[in-house]
Amino acid sequence: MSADPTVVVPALLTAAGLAPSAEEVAVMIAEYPARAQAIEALWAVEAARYEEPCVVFRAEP
Amino acid sequence: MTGTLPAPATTDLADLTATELLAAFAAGTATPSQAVEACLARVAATDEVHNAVLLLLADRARAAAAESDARWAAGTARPLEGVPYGLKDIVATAGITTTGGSSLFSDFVPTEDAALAARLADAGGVLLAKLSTFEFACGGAVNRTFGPTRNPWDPQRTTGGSSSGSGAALALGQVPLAIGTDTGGSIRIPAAFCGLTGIKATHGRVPRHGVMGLSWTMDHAGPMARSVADCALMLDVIAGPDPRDPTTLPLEAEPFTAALGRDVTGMRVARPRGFLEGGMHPAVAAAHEAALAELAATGVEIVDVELPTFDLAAVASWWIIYAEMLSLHEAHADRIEDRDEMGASLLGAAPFVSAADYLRALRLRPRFQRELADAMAGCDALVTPAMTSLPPLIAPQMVSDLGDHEVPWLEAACRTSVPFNLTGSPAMVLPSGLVEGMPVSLQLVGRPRDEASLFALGAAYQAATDHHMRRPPVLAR
Repeated sequence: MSADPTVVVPALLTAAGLAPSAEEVAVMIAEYPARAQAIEALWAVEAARYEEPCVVFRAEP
Repeated sequence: MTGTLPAPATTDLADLTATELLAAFAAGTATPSQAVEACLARVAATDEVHNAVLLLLADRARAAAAESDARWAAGTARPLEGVPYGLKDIVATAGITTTGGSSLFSDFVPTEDAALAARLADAGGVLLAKLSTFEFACGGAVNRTFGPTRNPWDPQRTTGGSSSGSGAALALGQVPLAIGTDTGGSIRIPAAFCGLTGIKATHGRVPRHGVMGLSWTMDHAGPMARSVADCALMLDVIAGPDPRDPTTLPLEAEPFTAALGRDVTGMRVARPRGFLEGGMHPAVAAAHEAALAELAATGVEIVDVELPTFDLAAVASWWIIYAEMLSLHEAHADRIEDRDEMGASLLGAAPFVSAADYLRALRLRPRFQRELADAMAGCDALVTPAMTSLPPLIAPQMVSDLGDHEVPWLEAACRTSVPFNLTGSPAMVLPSGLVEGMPVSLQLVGRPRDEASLFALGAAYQAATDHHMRRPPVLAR
């Protein structure tokens, strides 16, 4: 998929069945690069790939 | 009024805590019916401006209070006998409308009580009202169906949320106890903004059966009140395993109220100065230093610690909330245009989180749990500011003033709260002063299942200070 936020954002919204207003979509497009950067930061923690993804979790680690 | 005993001449029962009311009932100086009438009068006097109450249950409360009067007279009183309380309106109540704060559920009447609602009723509590909430516990301060809830300390400002009605109702004296829920801070934010005490207990401590879900690994329900003692009293009633919620924890050997009054001399409290004290309004930061000095004066030793990657904890938290929120709301995702603006915006952000991103955030959770456990080694709790700014002015898109710049309000409001939804740690907020006439607060975070240390520390702080006794100017008579 294109990395262009003006392409990615409307495509993802459509795939999720969401139809926010044009103004809201414009805000999401503007914010998308920062969101993508934040996600990248999560992937930078290499050791996390070996942790259990606890979908039902307990507070005790 | 059905009470047979006169209320104390100089005390409005609406101003008493639950602990004080129970003592008055036991001493025979007041009755549950009198307390209910006092709370109803307070609702009548204050709610037109503040809009804490979505549904007032006056007749039902009067009938329940009369039963409680009889139980006190017969010597068969239960732990919360006759104490009025309110429920955030995402908590299911059999036969009583439960709106979720949304037009989509405006006529929804559950057939079964939420587990915690049944426990409060079984303990003798008197349900007085269903309370306002941000839409589905994730909308904005301006609920377009039910209107904004206004902060009792300044009606131009938000109570915060999403337990907005619980915060306002408690601060106004409409009820002495209320239930809030907390996915990213929604007990602790309104507690901090309204000068209250609230605790998000350990993940699994309070069953969530019957509570509308937002994010199943981040959601918590818990007590909000006007004192640490009242939070312990309420948590003792609602905590405990429930077969309908697989995450629930077993009961502890001792009730939480047993920790009240414990000597805290020599207890160690960890202070992380990095991300969790970053981005603070200077006046709030100064008040935090003063509060830490008060905490230390109770005999507690405060030691500096590091939480080097907790900035990522906030990011991971939001990615989990986005993904789980979209899944839980899938049944009405196509009616996003009927939602409040902010809830719609949050939901609209959800598709940007891929399944792999969601699982990556979940994989990070145990790492943050271990980082926190390591930082708290040798300590009984961790202390942070409950809030980095004062409550924002009410607006469809609110911003928080950090002194030299403004940020979107959720960024400031959740900074110190949402990481502990991710770790599942117990976290208590308690008032620690006023800045520009608005409340500021401390947050105490405990080890999993160690709410007792928080109650001991919080009770010691409230025994040594009077911040929790202050009431909004609107109540001055």
